[in-house]
Amino acid sequence: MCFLYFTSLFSFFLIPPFSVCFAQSQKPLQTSTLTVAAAADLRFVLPEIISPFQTLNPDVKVEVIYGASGKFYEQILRGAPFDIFLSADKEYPFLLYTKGYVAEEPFQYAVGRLVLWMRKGLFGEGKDWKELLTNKKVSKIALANPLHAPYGKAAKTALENAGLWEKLDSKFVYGENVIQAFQFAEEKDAELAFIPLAIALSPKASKEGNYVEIPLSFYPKILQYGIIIKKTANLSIAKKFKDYLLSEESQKTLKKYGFGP
Amino acid sequence: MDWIALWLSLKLSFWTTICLYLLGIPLAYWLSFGKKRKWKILVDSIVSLPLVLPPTVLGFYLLILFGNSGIGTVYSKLFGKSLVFSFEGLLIASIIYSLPFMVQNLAGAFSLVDSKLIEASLCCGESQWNTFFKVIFPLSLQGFLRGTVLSFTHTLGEFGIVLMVGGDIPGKTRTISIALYDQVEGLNYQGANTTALVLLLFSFFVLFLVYSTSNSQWKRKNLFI
Repeated sequence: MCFLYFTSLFSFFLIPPFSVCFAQSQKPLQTSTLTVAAAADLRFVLPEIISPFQTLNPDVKVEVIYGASGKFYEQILRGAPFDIFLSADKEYPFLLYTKGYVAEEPFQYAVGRLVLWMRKGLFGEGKDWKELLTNKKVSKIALANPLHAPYGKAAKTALENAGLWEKLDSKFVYGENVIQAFQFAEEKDAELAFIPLAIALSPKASKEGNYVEIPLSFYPKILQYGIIIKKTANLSIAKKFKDYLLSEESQKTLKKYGFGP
Repeated sequence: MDWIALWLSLKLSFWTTICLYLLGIPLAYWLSFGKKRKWKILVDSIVSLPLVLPPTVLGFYLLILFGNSGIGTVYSKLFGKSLVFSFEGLLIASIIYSLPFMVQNLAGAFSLVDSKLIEASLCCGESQWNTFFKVIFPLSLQGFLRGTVLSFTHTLGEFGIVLMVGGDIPGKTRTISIALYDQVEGLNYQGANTTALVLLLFSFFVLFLVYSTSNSQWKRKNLFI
């Protein structure tokens, strides 16, 4: 009996070395992988752009990592092996550009919009965003961390311009990125969340809630820039992807998700 | 279910356990049979630090160490690639993080071996090596088993350090726990559910096997009934 236990336990550790040979023999030979670091607001729109790109370029595999732009900026400074970085703002790509981490000049691929999202039925329809924020029902307001998330920064600026930042200080909860801010509101830990329009228009968010747009006069336009990292080993593929992202077809998809001029 | 991530986690756990044998056995041997008590207390405290330290503290120091100033530069000069965001970096982080699980279990088992048996073996003229392999090792198999399994599963469940040092790169540093985090972030609750369930069942199964081989505490209870 004891023997049985020991053999079954140690057999766990034999799986990996054996499957090394197996996994390597199965890999197709000529695919190259493009690693894209993308701002969290692209979580739902980017797959719709990547899948036609992959049908056009079957030999390319596109891997996407989503997160806060400021985090990716730090990681690129430390030598992260990304090929393309799609930021949610203009500042980080240009900072990397001046520091010499970029292959060619940053390109603008979208303009983001900030909205205030809430679950359905929580408040009446058609209210002003400032009215909603000061509503008595509101105990927590979620936003992405303004320190490293562009949409968090934009939310902070809008609140400051409306004179509400200090007044509501105790009610803010910070997500690591915009998706987390959305989750706080979705899981009823917060009543309101500042999120990109692109996420408010995603199937899940539009099914469960509604949103109010923050007027453009309250925050600077969120110009979203992308860059090709200098160290990339796939420069020609990265350029192809950039061209595809800027093509009419992709721009149409972006527009569908609320990105616009 | 992200099979690439699961595979990466298994690979990481496997190599971590192998490296922990190389590092942990001599260390545990010295901790249980060594003579210098003061040094032993110091080393024991350092080895056990990852048990109580927040992973972020360890991750932060490793980031600095791997970065442009520490061993990272030496490594990148030798091998031409950086330690941050690489499998090798993750491996080093995991070894440090799981070290107490291996060393404490081994040292505990070593010190439970009857010293009369060891002395008898040495008196019969066996070398220290032979004594270790023929007396100490067979008598501390339980500790080896626990150390191995706990290091392996602990590495499998590692999260904070991997996120800080590894940076979530698919196929390179996206381990299964990070893949789960990513699925939740992507609002893919169904996928997250599967991943979490697989991890839960795997961990339970492994722990069940380990504890069923070492049910001495229940036997002792029966004595009093």
